[in-house]
Amino acid sequence: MWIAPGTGAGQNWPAFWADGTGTWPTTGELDVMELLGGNLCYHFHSPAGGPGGCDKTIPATGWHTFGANWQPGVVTYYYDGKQVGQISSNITSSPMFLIANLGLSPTSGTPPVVTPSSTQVDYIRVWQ
Amino acid sequence: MAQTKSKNSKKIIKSLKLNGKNRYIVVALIFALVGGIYYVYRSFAATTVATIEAENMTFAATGPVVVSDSAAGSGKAVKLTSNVAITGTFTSQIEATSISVRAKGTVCGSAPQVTVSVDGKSVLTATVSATSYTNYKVTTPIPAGSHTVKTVFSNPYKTRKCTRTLYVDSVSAINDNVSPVTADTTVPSVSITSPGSAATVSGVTNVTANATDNVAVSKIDFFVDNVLKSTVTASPYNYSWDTIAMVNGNHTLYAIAYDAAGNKTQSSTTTVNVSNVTTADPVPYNVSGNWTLKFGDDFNGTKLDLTKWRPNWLAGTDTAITKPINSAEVSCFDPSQVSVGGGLLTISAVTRPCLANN
Repeated sequence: MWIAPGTGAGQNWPAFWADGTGTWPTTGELDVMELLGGNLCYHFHSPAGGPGGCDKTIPATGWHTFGANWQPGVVTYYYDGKQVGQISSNITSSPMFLIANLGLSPTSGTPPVVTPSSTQVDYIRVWQ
Repeated sequence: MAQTKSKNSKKIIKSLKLNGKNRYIVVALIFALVGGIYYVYRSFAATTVATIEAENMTFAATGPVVVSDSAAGSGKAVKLTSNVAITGTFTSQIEATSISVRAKGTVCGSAPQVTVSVDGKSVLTATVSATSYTNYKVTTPIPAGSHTVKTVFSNPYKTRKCTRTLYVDSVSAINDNVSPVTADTTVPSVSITSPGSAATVSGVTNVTANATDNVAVSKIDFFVDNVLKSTVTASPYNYSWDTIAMVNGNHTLYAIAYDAAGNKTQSSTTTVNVSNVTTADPVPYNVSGNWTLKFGDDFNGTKLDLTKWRPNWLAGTDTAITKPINSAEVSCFDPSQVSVGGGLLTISAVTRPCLANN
């Protein structure tokens, strides 16, 4: 996935994530990557909350490979083949659908809103 | 015994006569061989720019006689026994440097003599001692254009026993400085030398061809499945064929060789078996485990695969625009902002009124 360069580290609110097919947050939300404050960040949302973290060792802009290994009770996050985080509590198991999007927000993601803007995806794959 | 001796003497005399004749023949052959080499050389270096057959020239109604002669250039010649001129006109596109008369004679007392004039100027006098047609040639400049040539048998002679006779086959204008231009009609030869027929190939395969021509090979075209893939203008004639993109199975190869004259030859077709190992499904980047690909999209098409994705946000249709999904966002999700091309999915954002219809 390609993250457009901004005035600092990226722009707007590109994200690659999965959302439960049922009621949010009961069926969970697995954020593989979202650009928050110019950083590449991961979270897992459930009724118990939304723990996660951001990796600040990898430059946020440009091409990256974002992945998550979703196992029963634990999700491990990988950026460019490097494990950047793991969440092992309140992991839901309901089916999810995949989302790649570019959000615009003056308050969330990586403000300010910049247009025109884009993000690109080379491939999306799911293994089991 | 004496009778026997006499017979032997006759045999010896007969043998000597034969030997003498043989020596004469040998000498004549050497002469002819030297002459032959001379004329072969001359004909290679020179170009005949115009020729007039004698039978097509103009001459008096009496005297000259057109005779059939298989040795003559066109099967006919003019037989002259009197001092009568035969006249003709030729036109040359380029200048000539010499004039030649092809003639033979019958000796009577002495050999006949022929004179040739061009545009009224005598340029050649030759004693025609040859009894078979021979070119008698002299160097003389003749500019390009139309010219009148006159041939005269200048020393007719006749006795009760013989008649001096001149046979004129033709008169030619020659340029000794221009080699004859011969059209190249010889086609090149070409063959695929590698891979061999029925070979199994994979990856990048070197296709080689061998080609020859009587002058020179100007280029080789390589074809795969009847589609031109490569043109090579100099030896070695090689083509690096990337078979990765080919469907596994039989494919045909051939080459066409050309020369500068436009002659061309297609090689015989070589059928080979492309067998590339199918790339295994990719695995997660640096995540250990045994993985089976369950879903994927490499976005190699020209539009979003709607059997896999929705181009908006859970909208009712794939053309509907979704309003901002929460209060933090200002972005609508418009399918027209999603595109696939160049192997990539592109999601772009622009500023415009959000005409949400969902």
